[in-house]
Amino acid sequence: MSAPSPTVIEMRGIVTRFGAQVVHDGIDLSVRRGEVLGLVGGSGSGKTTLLREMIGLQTPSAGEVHAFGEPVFSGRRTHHIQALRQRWGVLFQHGALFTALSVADNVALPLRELRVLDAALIQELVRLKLAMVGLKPEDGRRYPAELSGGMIKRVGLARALALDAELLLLDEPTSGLDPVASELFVDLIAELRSTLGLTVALVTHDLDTLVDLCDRIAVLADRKLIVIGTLDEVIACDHPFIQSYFHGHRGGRLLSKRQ
Amino acid sequence: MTPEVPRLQRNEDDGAPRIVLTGPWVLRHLSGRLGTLRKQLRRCGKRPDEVWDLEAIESLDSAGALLLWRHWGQRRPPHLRLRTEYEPLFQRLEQLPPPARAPRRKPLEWVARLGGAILSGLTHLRQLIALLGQLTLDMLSFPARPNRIPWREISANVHKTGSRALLITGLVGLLIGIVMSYLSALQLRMLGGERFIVNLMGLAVTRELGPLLAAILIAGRSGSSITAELGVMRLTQELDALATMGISPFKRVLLPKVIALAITMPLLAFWTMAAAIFGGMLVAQSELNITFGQFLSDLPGAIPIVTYWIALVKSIAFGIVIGLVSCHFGLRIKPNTESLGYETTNAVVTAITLVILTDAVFAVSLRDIGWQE
Repeated sequence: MSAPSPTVIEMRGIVTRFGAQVVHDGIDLSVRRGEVLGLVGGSGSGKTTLLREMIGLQTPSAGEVHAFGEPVFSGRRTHHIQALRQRWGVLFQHGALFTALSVADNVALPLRELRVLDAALIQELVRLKLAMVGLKPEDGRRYPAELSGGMIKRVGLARALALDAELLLLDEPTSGLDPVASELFVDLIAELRSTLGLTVALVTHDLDTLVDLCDRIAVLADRKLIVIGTLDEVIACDHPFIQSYFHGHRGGRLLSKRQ
Repeated sequence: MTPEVPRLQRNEDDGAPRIVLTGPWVLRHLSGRLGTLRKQLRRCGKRPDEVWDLEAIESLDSAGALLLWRHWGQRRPPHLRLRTEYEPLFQRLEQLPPPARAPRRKPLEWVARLGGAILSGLTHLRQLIALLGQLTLDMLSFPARPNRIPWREISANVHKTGSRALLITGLVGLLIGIVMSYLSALQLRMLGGERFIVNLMGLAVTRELGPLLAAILIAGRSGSSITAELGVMRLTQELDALATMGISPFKRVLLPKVIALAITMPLLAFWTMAAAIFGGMLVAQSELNITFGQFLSDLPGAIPIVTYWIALVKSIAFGIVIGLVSCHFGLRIKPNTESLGYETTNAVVTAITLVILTDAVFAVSLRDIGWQE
């Protein structure tokens, strides 16, 4: 195997426009192998859009995206995406489970789609993935409509992990979870990351998740990436958004507890 | 340099056989070589003193680990050399809970299923009657408080289910009129009764075809849209939101739809009749040399006035049936995508069936009324 590149995702000069509205104006961002990168920013600052552009769900108006050293947007676009999609797993904000399929079938779908694994192996892999995210084998027979919010996120994570992806993209993994469930979920991701050696990029609003999980934090504001670095580096920045975000009432309390 | 594929080698040179695994044992690379590897694996593991050497492996993921695990018979081989970083993978496999047992099939399941189908049919009937009762009670509450009548919603629904359906009902009416009168014209000419085309077309279209055609079209067009709309409103909790504001979803959402259909159905039925009779007139002129003037002067004499009353009452009934059925199925939609399609199909099929059933009831009970001596 060629020497693994130090960056998994490389974005250069990303510009995104929706009609006359400019969301991103020249963003350079890279996700390094093995790290957990947190994307933060106010509502409507284009965090989720940036995440979607990383994996080719949305085409930026200008700029380049490379994933695993290969261009995501190029002439042979579909071919590339087919080869790349086995290497990343995505957890959508609301789970995006297929409501017509049972939990087990949801996790099995990407495995079946490979068309090489036999049914027994798939079944066992599904059982393993469900156990990884802390679900019981019986839960496999249930349908998404019967699950709680926390369980939907767990199943979504199991599905994202089904192909043993190297890169995990999480869109607000802890939104809509109660504090206990969200803490468990953060622990789960941290554990999976250390045992599986995953690279994780996540969008979040939750300061606890940022502090507990992320190696580096990227802050989006005013259509730009204003700072990227460790928590301490980010806090040291004197941009007004960071001041209000991290040094506001709740942020200040959390950071003082940490020290 | 060997290409990057998962490999397996069995060495037997110095006493105990050693099985050496190299390369990336990850799903992405395994999937292409699964058959070969399985064949090679089958040749290994026959002797208990074999050493499994996984230390030279480049990478290992859960699919690779599971493949080996299954080969080993769900346990570690006695001699396994493994890098510590892959230890958790196999620990996880060791702790894997047994598969959930499939629920046992009960004997005589078809009896239970038949009973279930009958009971579910009765439940539908009961719920439909309850819905009709609820809406009737809501209607009765309006005269006391006329300012609560949802005029805006009724008018919006009349536009949606009525004005927007004019083109399709008109077109279908015209075409059916042409087809029917063309076929009858051939027969009538043989019998020499060309002028009876007016009676034939007039009666058939006003008494049966017009109302029925319009109702079937509207059941497919508006019925499905009402069911889907209500279903999505239920999924997104819009109906709950209305209820918490003290606004009855029955009065504000369901009732306007049923009332609007009861208003538009007779209007559309008469519009369809007119289109069909116009189609008949076109054919009568070209095939039987009956001018528009002759046709129109014969028409009032051919159709007794009571026929129009029957068509009017029938159409109102059809509108109410379509509205009730599609609202009923809309409220049954469960929060998943499959249910949305399933209940919408059910709504349209049931609405059309009930419309035809209602029509049969009208035809039988009014069989002695409206025929000329």
